[in-house]
Formats: sequence, C-alpha cells, structure tokens
Amino acid sequence: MIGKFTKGESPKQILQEVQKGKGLTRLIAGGTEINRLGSSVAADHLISLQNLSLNEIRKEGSLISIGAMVTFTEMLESDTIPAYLKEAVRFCGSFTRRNMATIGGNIAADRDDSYLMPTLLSAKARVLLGDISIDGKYNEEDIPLREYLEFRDHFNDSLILAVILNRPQRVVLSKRFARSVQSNAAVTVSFGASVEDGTLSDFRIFAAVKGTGIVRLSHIEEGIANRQFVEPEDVAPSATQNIAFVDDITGSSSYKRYILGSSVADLYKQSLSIVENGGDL
Amino acid sequence: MIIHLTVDNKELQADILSGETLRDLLVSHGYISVRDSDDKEGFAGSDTVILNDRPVYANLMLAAMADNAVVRTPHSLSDKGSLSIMQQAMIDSGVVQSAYNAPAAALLLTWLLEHNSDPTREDIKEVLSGIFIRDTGYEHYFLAVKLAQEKMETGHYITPIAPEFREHLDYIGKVKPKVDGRQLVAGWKSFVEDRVEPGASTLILLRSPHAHAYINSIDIEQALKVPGVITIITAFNCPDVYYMSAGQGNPEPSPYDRRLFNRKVRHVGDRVAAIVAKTEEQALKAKELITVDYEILPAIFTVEEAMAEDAPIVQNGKVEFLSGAPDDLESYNSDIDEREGKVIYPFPLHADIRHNVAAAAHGAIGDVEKGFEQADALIERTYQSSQIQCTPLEPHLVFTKMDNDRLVVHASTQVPFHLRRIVAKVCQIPENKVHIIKEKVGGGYGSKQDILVEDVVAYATYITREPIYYRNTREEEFIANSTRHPMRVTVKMGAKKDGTITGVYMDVRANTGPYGNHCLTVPMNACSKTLPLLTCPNMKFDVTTYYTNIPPTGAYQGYGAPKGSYALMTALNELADQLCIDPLEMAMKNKVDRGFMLEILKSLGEGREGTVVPVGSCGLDKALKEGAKMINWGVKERMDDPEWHVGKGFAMIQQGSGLPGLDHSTCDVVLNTDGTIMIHSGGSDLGTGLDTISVKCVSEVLKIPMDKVAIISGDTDTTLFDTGAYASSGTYFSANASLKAANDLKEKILNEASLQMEEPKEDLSIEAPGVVVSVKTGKELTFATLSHDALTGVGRGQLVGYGSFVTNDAAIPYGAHFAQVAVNIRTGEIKVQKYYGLQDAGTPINPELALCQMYGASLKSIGHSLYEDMILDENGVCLTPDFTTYGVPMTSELPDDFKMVLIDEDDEFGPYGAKSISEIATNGAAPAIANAIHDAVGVWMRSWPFTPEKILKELGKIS
Repeated sequence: MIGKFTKGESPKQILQEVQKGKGLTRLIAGGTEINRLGSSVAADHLISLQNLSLNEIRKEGSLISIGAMVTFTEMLESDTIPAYLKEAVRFCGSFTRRNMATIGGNIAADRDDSYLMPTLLSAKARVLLGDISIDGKYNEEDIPLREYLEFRDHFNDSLILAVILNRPQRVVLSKRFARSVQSNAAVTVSFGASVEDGTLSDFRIFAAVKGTGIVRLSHIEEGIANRQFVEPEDVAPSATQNIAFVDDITGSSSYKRYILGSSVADLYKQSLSIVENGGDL
Repeated sequence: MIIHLTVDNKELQADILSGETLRDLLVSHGYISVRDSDDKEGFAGSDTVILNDRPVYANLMLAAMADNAVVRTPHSLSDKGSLSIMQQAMIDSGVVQSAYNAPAAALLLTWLLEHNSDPTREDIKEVLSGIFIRDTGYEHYFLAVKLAQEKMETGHYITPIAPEFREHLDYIGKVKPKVDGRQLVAGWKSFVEDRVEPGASTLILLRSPHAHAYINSIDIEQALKVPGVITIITAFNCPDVYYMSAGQGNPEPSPYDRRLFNRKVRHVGDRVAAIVAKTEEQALKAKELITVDYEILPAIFTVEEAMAEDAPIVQNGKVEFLSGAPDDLESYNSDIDEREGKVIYPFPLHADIRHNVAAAAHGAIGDVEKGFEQADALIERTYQSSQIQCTPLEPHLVFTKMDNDRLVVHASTQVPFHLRRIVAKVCQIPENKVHIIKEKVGGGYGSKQDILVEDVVAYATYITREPIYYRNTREEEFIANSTRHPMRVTVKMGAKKDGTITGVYMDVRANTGPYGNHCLTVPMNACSKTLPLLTCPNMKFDVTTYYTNIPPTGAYQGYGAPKGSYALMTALNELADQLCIDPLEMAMKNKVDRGFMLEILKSLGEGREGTVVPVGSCGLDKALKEGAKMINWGVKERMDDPEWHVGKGFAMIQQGSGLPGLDHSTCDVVLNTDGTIMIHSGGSDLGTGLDTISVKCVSEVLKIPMDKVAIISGDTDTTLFDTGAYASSGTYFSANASLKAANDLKEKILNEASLQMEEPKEDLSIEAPGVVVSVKTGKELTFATLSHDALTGVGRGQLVGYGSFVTNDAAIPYGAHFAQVAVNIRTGEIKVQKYYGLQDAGTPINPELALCQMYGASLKSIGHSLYEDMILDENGVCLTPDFTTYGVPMTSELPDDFKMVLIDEDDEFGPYGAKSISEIATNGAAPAIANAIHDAVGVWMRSWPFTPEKILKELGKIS
C-alpha cells in the first residue's frame, strides 16, 4: 500500500529519505516494475526521480553516459546508443511499455529475465551511483555494473544516476529465448568481446536465466581467451557447468541448459565471423 | 495530494491518493474510454493514453507521476458525436468488433499518423505492439491506417476494403459501417461497467486455495461485523438449487452439478463465499476475517489420473435423473457423503461419476474393423491439446439491481434468455420477475455462453435489494472462468496404397475439470465437425469426458472442433507420409462434395439422434485448390541460413451454422409512425456484427436505408426469445428470424397499402427509399404516410412483422488453411512465414467484418498452437494467471504473410445464402502448422503448444 508519494529534489535529499525509510521507502523511475500487477516491490513511500534531470544521453569523449531515467524508447531514438544496446532494448516487446521503462529501473529491478542486464554486463557497462557515506556526505562514483550486481545488497541504499558505456571497438551480441516476444524469457544471453588488431579479446559472457538469476560464464571467457576451444561449437558442452537450472513455466532445466550452451557457442561463432569479415560493430 | 494536469485540453486539478493510478483518476473524472483489461499488468493496452506526447499505460502509472503532464485520452478524438478520420477508418475497415480497447487503438494510430504521415507496416506493428487485439487479429488495422491516410490526402478512400458479393443486392454482401461502430470506437457508454449506478455495492468472492477439499465449516461471524458488510453467502445459507452454467438449450445436455456454493470445493479458485459490502475495501477486509475449515482431499488433474483405478472421485454425490433414470439408481446412490451434493442429469448421458465419467457418447457407420482390414497402411496416433483461456478483454462482470420487485441484470452475455432462465431458477422466482439487458460484449469467444458470475450476484441483489457490481479480476478469469477442454484424441486411420481412406476411429478423452458444463457437446464436436469432412464409409468414434480438479472448462470458439481437427488432419498427414503420397492429394481424394449424404451425422447429435443431411453448398474443393496455388504447394522453399528449415502444411476444415433441430430464434420488426423501422431481435450481438446483419436484412427487404432502421437486441423485456449466440448460430438463426420478420412486415405493408391505396396488392411493390408504388397507376405511398394513417384513430393499428426461425437444414461452412513455417534446427524456434485461410461463408453479409473475424480466429489459434498454455503446479495452482505468463500472440507473432480469402458459395438455407464464418477459422492452425513443422524438420508435433523445447526434444537435442 503506497501511503506517500513525493518528488525527489536532489540525489542527496533522496538518499537521506531512503535511509530514513528503512527499506519501505523506494525510488520510482518509470514505474513499470513497482506499479505492475504482481510486483515484488513493497513500499509505503515512493520517491520519484522525475525532477532530477537524469534523462540525458551524452557523449563524453569515448564514453556514453545514459541517465538513469532515460526510457527504452529514448535509447532507440538516440543516434548515440550503440546498436547492440538497441537490440537488447527491443527485447521489451511492447512499444507502450518502452515509453515508460527506464534503463535505471531495469537495472534496479534485478529481474532474472532482465531485458538489458546481460547485454550491459557483456558490454562492460559501468554505473554511476550516488551514495551517502557514513559521515553523511554525498558522493558519486562509477563502478562496473558487474560489481554492482555482485554486491547488490550493498547498494540497496544507492541511487543509480547513469549507465556508462565505453566506446572502444567491442562486439556485443545478445539473444533472448521466450515463447512469444512478450512472454517471460527462459534465457537471455549476451556475448561481448573487444576487438584489437582483428582479433577478439577481453571476453564477457553473461546470461539471465529464469529461476536462476544473472550468471557470468567466467570459465568460458577464460577458456576462449586461453584458446581452450578449437571450434566455437566446443564451447557448448561446458558452458553451463556449475549453473543450477530450474524447471518453470518458461521451460525445463534441460532446455535452459541446452539453449544457453548452444547460444553461447553460436554467439561466439557470430562474433568471430563479424571480425573475420571486418563487419560493422 | 493535489496535482494539476491537462486532460484533453482541459485543466484538471485533483486531490488524489498516493497510490491512485492515472486510469482511476481519469475514469473518476468521466474519461470512461480508458478501460482496464489486465489489472495493472501493462500488457493489453485498453488503458492507453498519451502522456506528454508518449503513449503510456494509464493503469501502470501513478496519478502522482502525471502531475503537470499533458494527457490525451480517446475522448479527445471525437467531437460532439463527430468521429475522427482514424476512428471512421477503423469502423470501415471492420476492426471495430467487440472493441473493448478500440478507443485506445484509435488513439495510438492517431498519434502514429501525427508523427509519421506515411508509416510502414512495421511502424504500425510497432505502435500496436502494446495493445492486445483478440477478436480481429491486427491485419485490418494496417488497412485502417491506409484508409485514413488516403482520406486525409484525397478526401476519400482509394484502397478497396473487402470484396463485395451479390451485385443484385444493395446491402447484403456490401461493405457498410457496423451499426454500433460509432459508440464502440469513440468509447461512449456501451459496456456493463458504464451502467453501474453511483452507490452500488460490491461483491467479491472468497475462493478455494485447494484443488479438492470438503468444507466442514465456515465462520463468518467476525466478517459480518465489518462496517459496511451487507451479507455473506456460503454453502450453508444459499438455495439448495442445482443447475448448469452452460446456456445451451433447455434441458442442457450436461449434468446439473452446479450450486451457488458447495460443501466441497473442486478446483483452486472454486467459490467458497460471496461477500457483499458497500465498498470493495470493506468486502476485502471481511474476506480476510472468514475462516474455513477444509478437509483436504487428493486431487486429479489429467484424464489419465481420472481413469486410474481408485482415482479420487471429483463428483461423488447423489445422482438424479429428470428423465430416463436407470433401474439400478438406488444402489448407485448408496453410501453417499452429503457434502458431495448432487449431480442431476436431465436425461442419460452415458455417465458414470463414480469413475469420474461426466458423459460419454459412441457411434459408428459401416464397419470400421473391416475398413482397417482393407487398408494397406494403418496408423494409430494420440494427440494432446492443452487448456486454453478465452481471454476476453472485458472480463466477466455484471451489474444487478431491483426495479420494484423485478430483478434487473445488466450483463455481458451471449445468452440473455438462458441467463434469465438460470437466474430465475437460482432465485426461485418466475422468469417474468427477471429482466436481462445484454450490454455490448467486450469479448466473449464462448466463455460468456456460461453463467459464471450473474447467478451469485443476481441472487445477492435479490435477497438484499442492493444494487451490486461485480467484476472478475484477470486472475479470476484464468482460474474460475471457462476454458478450452484439454483433450487426448487418438486416431486410428487406414488407407489403400492410392490414399483412399478405408476406416477411421476417433477416441476422444476430454477433461471437463470440476463441473460438467458442455461436457458432452464440446468433445462431441471433435468428431461431429471433422469426420463429416471425409467420404470414408467406415467410421467410428468414442467420446468420454472426465471430471478432474483443473480450473473449469466450457465453451470456446470452435468448441471441440479445433482439437478434433488437429488430431484427424495430422493423422491424415501421418498416414500420407507412411504411404509416401502427397497429403493434399490424399485430402482431395477423400473429401466430401455437394450432395454426399452425411450418414455419420446420425450418431453425432448433441445428446440425441442427429439428422442425416446431404452436403449442401461446399467450397472445400475451391479452398484447397486456391490455397495450394497461393502457397506454391509442392515446391520446397529454402533459406540462406542452413539452420532454418522451411515446411508447408494444410488442413481442411468445417464447422456448423448453429444447431439445426435445437436452436430457435425469433424477432419482430416494427414500422414506426414516421416510416422508420425498429427491430427487436432476440439475437445477441457479441460485437461480431449480428445487429448489422439484421439491419441489412431488413433494409434489403424493405428497400430502406440502414440509417432508417434501428435495432434492440438481447433484451429479455423488449425482444423475443432466441437461444443465443453460440455454435456459430447468429447469422444462420437470428438473422434468418430477422429476415422472416422483415418479409412478414413487407407483406403487412403491402396489405395495408392495398387498403389505403385501394389497389390490389398484386399491383404494388416496395421501392427505395421505403415507398409503396403501384405498378399500374404509378401512385406512391411512403412508409411514413402509410404508418401514420394506420395509427390514426380510425386506422388498423401498428404494423409488426414477426419471424420465428427453426430448421433441420444444415448450412455447413467449409475451408482450408495453409501454413508455411521456418524451424531452426539448433534452437527449435518456429516462425510462421505464411498463413492463408480460405473459407466458404456462403454469402458474406458483412465481408469486411467476416475477414477480420477470420484473421482474429486464425491468429488466436496460431497462439493456441504455439504459445498459449495454462500451466498448473502439482497442487492445481495456476502458474500462468496473467497475459504475460500465459503467452497470447501480439503483433510480433503475426505471420509475415497473412491472408484470408472468402470463397464464394451461395447457400440455399442461410439468409441470402449466408453461413457462419468465425468459429471455423479456429480449426486450421494446429494441424496446418504441425504438418508444416513435419515438412520442415521431419518431426510430428503431437501435443499443444508446439514450443521450441518440444521441437528440440523431438529432434533429439534434449532429453
């Protein structure tokens, strides 16, 4: 039951309110997660980020900064947003929802079928966070999104201000598996690598697996880097080691295991092909 | 908190609650066209508004977030009754049918054209991706945009809307605006929710968390103390009346196993108590204070579990018969637990509830075993269909009130007269004390053929005299509505080397869930709407329906035919594959043609012997040949990517047009004093255009423009009896009644004119626009003068035409659907590249509406085949109680190339040669796609839905 709605004045003021609210004060961006039927987010005080001017997409040298309140539609309309991120944005199949959903909200929602997280993680995105330190001072720092995810609980009282993408030559390919475009995804997988001198390096492979969560396939990243696999197809059998899959409405654990392994191999193969053909990244 | 916003160019200041949604705010200020189909899921788009020039879901947005915003609603599109070009184009293209979210769609498309004056198909798909259209598919929305563009640019339409039929007629077979299109697309008051009076009380239902349990006791004492609570109804204080929720005939061929509330709950979501209170908050608070002592029983969910030895028995009460009781009934009823209640059979249905058999039927022609002996190849295959939800955008809802001592029910129903009968029975009052007003139906698809909410709400009003509004949540639609029966259909089929089928056996095992509504007729349709496609002389069927503890089933567009068609047509393809012959050739060899005597129908009546008739008008041959040509049948297509394999499939299909020998429609047509016409039709227009058909029939007969003809339909006080809109009966039965009434009025007009003009009737004719003309003298008498003079103090009274239509003649629609799919052999993904539906609807009276219904039904059944699935956990809890998890098709699931074709066949029995159109279109997708998948990758899909996971399993990629 939402008892109070306020508009945040500044990041610092918002974070102070969040600290005071002790878990029952939550931030609201586009609202598609908090307001929706069956939302797991409980709050009695919502603070809107509408007034914080977090809706800009900026090029800053080799960096792209995407304000947390930038909607999915605004990303699609921007010339600055890389194609690989636009592809992930389109995983949200509803035009109307894309007009409401924000990049910050999608990250904070922490869903196991997240549209954007695998892609952003494979792209080595960073997040700019606002925080209040123990001494009460307001700080901003950008950290790898991977770190944000890994220590999610630590950042519960943080405010996502922006997502930052580097713009070096990096190939990022993603694929989503769901019965229909707007069904919950069983698996969303993304493969990212830097391109230097016509070769791939600095691999990042992440997947959102329904029922399991966001997983990183570090051993495959290392295996590829160490040339452990002769052919891309060789990746598939070992890709899903140590991942606990579950049966649910999106598919059986064996389906998820197969499709994740197979897709990692396929995305790796496509990445090699793009680089070999000197394709546009 | 106070917010300020601009809504449709008007300043609005509102004091809102923090958690209030933008939709609630807008509706409370009169913007009723911002509707709700998904309880804040952000999916169906009925709540779409434009906020600061972006389409958003108003239900997913807090009103507080709209502070200082500029909001535009569908109300902004029409001005004092004048529609926008886009709204009119939607009506003209035929997409405004059940129309619950048509205003929202109009708003979206208007916004699109304002931002992009020349949108591509992909642009339109994109903008409509956030709106769920169940009734008409999306295809004619592309046409609507094109028409609007043309009108804006040139002042008129250039693109033809639909083919037209019967040159000699003025209205029939012509593209004409649907008579209720304006109110629906504009979002004017139309639906039940628009009739709710201020101050109405609310009713909510406490539902069972258990799939199978006795209720030992219910404590409502604390709940009754909650301020505002008016009454609470349970199994312990409701009438001891058993009835059947299915509105189909009287007596229904189903067991009467429903009671308002039972001492035993039989599915998760079954009714336990109804709480009536002044407000929803009070009712919810009271609901929490009710304590129920359940004695949990083991539950069963599948036909196999129901068939098992020592299976838990779902309906184990006392069995009674209204007629035809067996001799051993007393011993059958020994040792009954009174908590089980009763099951009353109006007549024997071969049931055995002690073994969970709710009904059964058996029949044959020829000698099927002999047929199998004659065969060179024989297959036996089992096909499983899943539980499918109708998902009407407007959920089940009702508003009831007392008017003096009469009960008034504003209903969204397909069967107002059956509803009146059942409500009267439950309340134990005569039918003349009940007034049913059928409002516009925002989607029914069969689910509103069942009386699922009106019974309890009407009873609550009757005992309290309170006006009460009730509305199912979307979750309740899934767990407590009617759904498509899951069925296991085994087909044994034999054929000669040349493809001649020598014997067919169908064994249908249907899962009716906890109650037996439609438990005989739906499964029977699996046979009765498929076997008569074949000329095979040796055919046999067994139909058995089992009680289980899944959520209730019932009628759904297509009835049992989609499941039977899937099984029979896939089996035919499997047999053709075994014989190494082209399945299309095999179908052509074994299909019926005009004049073939349908002996099989004798054993396929609904609870009684059927009538053997010959095949009448039949477009099957044309549909198969034309479809084969369109899809380039026999030519193997390939894609550049070797992982994608392409295949083609088809299915021949049929349905019925109502139930000859069972259905009955009546109508009166009145000549008003100014020469205009009023039709009172018992028929129930579900948005499909039945009212328009009736108006066209009258206009055609009386040569009077459609705008001079008005219609009231489905109102039990002001219209005459009609069995209702189900089994594709509307056009054939209700419109035939309208036609007969129009012809009767024509005769009366001529008789009266003869007297007034003092000329022989034989010399008079009716000419446009509503004038009686003497062919001899040239004298004219307008309808207005004629009617006026008939109603002066010395006249002979008002002229009223009466039509009553019953028949034993069948008007069977036929067709063929073709699919081309691409299947990815690595991922199991399936893309429907081409989907063509070719159907013979006789004379399509509303061709543009007919095409849209074909698109809607086809996309729906593509959804059933590939995506949709109600999934229960091991306790019977539905895991897919919303659109997202359940998985309905949206614009992204449209076939790349989607075409519907009307095959021209004049029928001798339908009104102006018309037959039914919509239901049949649900029968083709499953077999056509299954067969196309086999053609692509060599695996047979024998269970719905055909998911990538199942493909991968069949391909041996996963275990």
